[in-house]
Amino acid sequence: MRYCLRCCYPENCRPKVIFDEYGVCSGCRTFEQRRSETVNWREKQQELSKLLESYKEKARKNNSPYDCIIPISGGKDSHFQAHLITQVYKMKPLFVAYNHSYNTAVGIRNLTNIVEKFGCDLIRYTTNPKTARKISRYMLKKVGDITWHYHAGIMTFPIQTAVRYRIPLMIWGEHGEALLHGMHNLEDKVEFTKKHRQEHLMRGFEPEDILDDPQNKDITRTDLAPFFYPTDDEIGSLNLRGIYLSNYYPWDEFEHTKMVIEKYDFETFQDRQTSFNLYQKVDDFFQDTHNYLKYLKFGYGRVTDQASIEIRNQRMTREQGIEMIKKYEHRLRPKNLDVFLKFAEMTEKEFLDSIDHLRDTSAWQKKPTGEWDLLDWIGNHTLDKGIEDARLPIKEKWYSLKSPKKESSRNTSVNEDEELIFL
Amino acid sequence: MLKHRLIPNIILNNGNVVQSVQFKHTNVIGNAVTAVDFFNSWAVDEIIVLDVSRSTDQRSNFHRIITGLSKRCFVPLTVGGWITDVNEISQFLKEGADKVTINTHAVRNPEIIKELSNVFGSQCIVVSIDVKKTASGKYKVFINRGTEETTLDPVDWAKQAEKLGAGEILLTSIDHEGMRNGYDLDLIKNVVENVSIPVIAFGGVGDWKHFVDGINIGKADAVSAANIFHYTEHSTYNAKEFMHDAGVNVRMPIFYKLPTPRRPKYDEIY
Amino acid sequence: MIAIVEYGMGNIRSVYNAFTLLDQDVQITNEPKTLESADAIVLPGVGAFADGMKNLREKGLLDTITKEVIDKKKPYLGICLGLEFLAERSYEGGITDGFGWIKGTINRIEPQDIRLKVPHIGWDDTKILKPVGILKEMVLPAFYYLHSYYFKVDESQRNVITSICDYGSVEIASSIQKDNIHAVQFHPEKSQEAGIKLLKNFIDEIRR
Repeated sequence: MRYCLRCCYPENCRPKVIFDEYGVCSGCRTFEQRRSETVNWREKQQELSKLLESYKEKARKNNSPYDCIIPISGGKDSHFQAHLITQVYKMKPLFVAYNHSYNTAVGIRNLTNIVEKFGCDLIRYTTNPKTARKISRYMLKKVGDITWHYHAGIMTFPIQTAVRYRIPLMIWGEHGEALLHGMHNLEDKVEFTKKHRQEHLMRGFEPEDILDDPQNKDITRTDLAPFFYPTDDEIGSLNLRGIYLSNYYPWDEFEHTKMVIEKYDFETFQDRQTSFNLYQKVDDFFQDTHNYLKYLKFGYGRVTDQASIEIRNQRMTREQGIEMIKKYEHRLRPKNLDVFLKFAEMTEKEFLDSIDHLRDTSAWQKKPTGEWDLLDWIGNHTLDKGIEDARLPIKEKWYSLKSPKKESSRNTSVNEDEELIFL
Repeated sequence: MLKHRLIPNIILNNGNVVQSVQFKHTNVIGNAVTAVDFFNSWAVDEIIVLDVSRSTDQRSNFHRIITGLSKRCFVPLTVGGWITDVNEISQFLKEGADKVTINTHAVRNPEIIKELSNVFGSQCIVVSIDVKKTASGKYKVFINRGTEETTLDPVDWAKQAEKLGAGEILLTSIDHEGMRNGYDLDLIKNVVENVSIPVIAFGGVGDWKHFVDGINIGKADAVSAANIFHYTEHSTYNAKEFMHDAGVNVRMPIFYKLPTPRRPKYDEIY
Repeated sequence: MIAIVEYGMGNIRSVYNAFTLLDQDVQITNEPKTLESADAIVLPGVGAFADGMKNLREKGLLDTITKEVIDKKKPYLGICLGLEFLAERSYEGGITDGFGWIKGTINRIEPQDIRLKVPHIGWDDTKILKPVGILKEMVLPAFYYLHSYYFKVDESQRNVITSICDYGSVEIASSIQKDNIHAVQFHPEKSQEAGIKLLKNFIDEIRR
């Protein structure tokens, strides 16, 4: 297996990267371009300002109560986006959230926080846990993804809402695949498309495909209601556009998190079995199991993504990144899996057997005993030729960023008639 | 009246759709099936799929992809990339391609154009010409995916290709590709004025207006682009609408509803 | 069962895919026996007229097709070459005889307008003269054309022309119908919605 000589990405990562003649991946190169001195962020932000002004104007003319929609999860990015749009650009957004049913206490506290702090209204669609279980079980077998409905939901329900309420602008935060894998350069000025959502976030599945599948025994049209994308004509007649703030801002989530902790009481985890990063994906209860599945399929997981981000932002060395992978990801089975198995009503054997056909055989090899073994891992590539040439100098030493712990008022015993609950 | 055509070009490297800048493949966009599905519903007139992979062991995978794509493509499909062989062309046509494009091999063996147009009909044969301005300021034809300079002048070569039986010319400016500054309109106009077969312009689009210029100023019969169509919702539809509103004679843009079921065919290929 | 004739001329897979999409029982074949048991015969083709006729003769298909379509009156749909073959003869690369089912000849397109290129490639407006048969319920559709020759139908039989396409000084016979014989110069399998509608209409013709 070949690995990027600068960050930790393997060549079999999804979506794919391209290694250049120096052995550095397209994710690193695109990131480098973003951090280049030639990028005029001020100019880009002026462009953004003009764009947003035109939508504010449109909303004024139409007497619309909201001039844009911000799809949120309540996480650090949601807080940062809300800050930019309401405080800097002074817009009147409608928050739209999708409740995947696998919430954490911290996640709910953060969601309550964002609504409270920014004074914006929220429309939140809840998929009930029974439906969520059905979909997770189905998608586990199909593509090895128990959180398919998260992406399907957050990337469809807000668009359905935009069409229903005739709000022609959606404001997204980062284009993950562009930032991590270098799918797009800054100058592409990429916008949200159903195409990208379908291929990369929904793993090629639209709800219609699930209904057409003879192997689907229990998922109904009702279960899939929030995932049906509006028609091309509906999108076209509204002229709906989805822009990414990461096209206008440098986007360092470490810096964002520092700011939203300080200014808006954003809450992180206090510790984590499965990563050094305490502020990503804190709203997702089954994140550990989800990341474990990625590892079981491809031989690498989210810690690889997170370490690569830190390396590119010059806070960690490649060696430190590899240490993190060794500590949190390599050959580690998360405790969280036990909770998932109980919820999904399956045994670990069933779980592993479901994804047998999804193992990437360039990363995993099946032994005669039926067990799978890793063919390689980045720990074997600490001395590859070219690492020194690709190395970036450290700008700021990495430290574990976390917020002060919050007490949940619902945990401590308190008089119910004295407790005002927002969400 | 015969309409001008808008043609997305899907560039595949090792089976993945890539962005290409001056013939360097810089980013991976995704898979070809999704691209064809969406372009089909977004008012395109034809689709070109090019295999730019250098490794020959990828070739059978490319054939598999074309077979799968043709099941979902209800506009003409032009296939190309390192084609040298009559039998391979036969195979592509059997798999569902309507036209093929040849480039390097045609320059190295011009007689092949005559042979191929005799066997398959000239309407099936698109001769693809890649052009760069050399240090002397003159346009020269380049082959082998832009790595080898020839002594050929693009206009002369295009005329020769027509004489030998080419049905269409796909004209690419390597200098302009991926640079977002528009087509090389002088180059296009020059070639168009010297041949009487259709010319498809490629390389440089950064804005829908460039398509209009390609037709009105460059006098191209059809306009093509690759990278830009992956950036925005309804990209090719919006480009078509822009051209239509600017008075260019194109098909009315409408959204085409894709046939279902979709999924089994997707699994067959990827 | 709809039989699509395979005789080595161009892309027949797309025609097959289109009929499959419309839930039809389709078979690609070069066996006379299969043509005999089919409910309808589709003859697509792109390429040289002479090669096409030669291949049909050599594989024994010409006689079978004539018997099934002329004698047994089976529905026939010719696409591109499949339309050109209906003529008495073609002047492409010499003189070659066609089926001779309709009087007229196949000539090279010469539009007498330097702005109009040959081959005639692309989407072109098609004027419907008779909105019946495979053209029913169509209004000024644009179809995809890919050809350098056209059918110059004899004056005495011009009533078989059901739609035309003007290309400079040339009036291209876009579609022809004579009883159970239907033919189109353009490619319905590559003409998106309009094309699929035409094929649906042909399926209705078979049912009648």
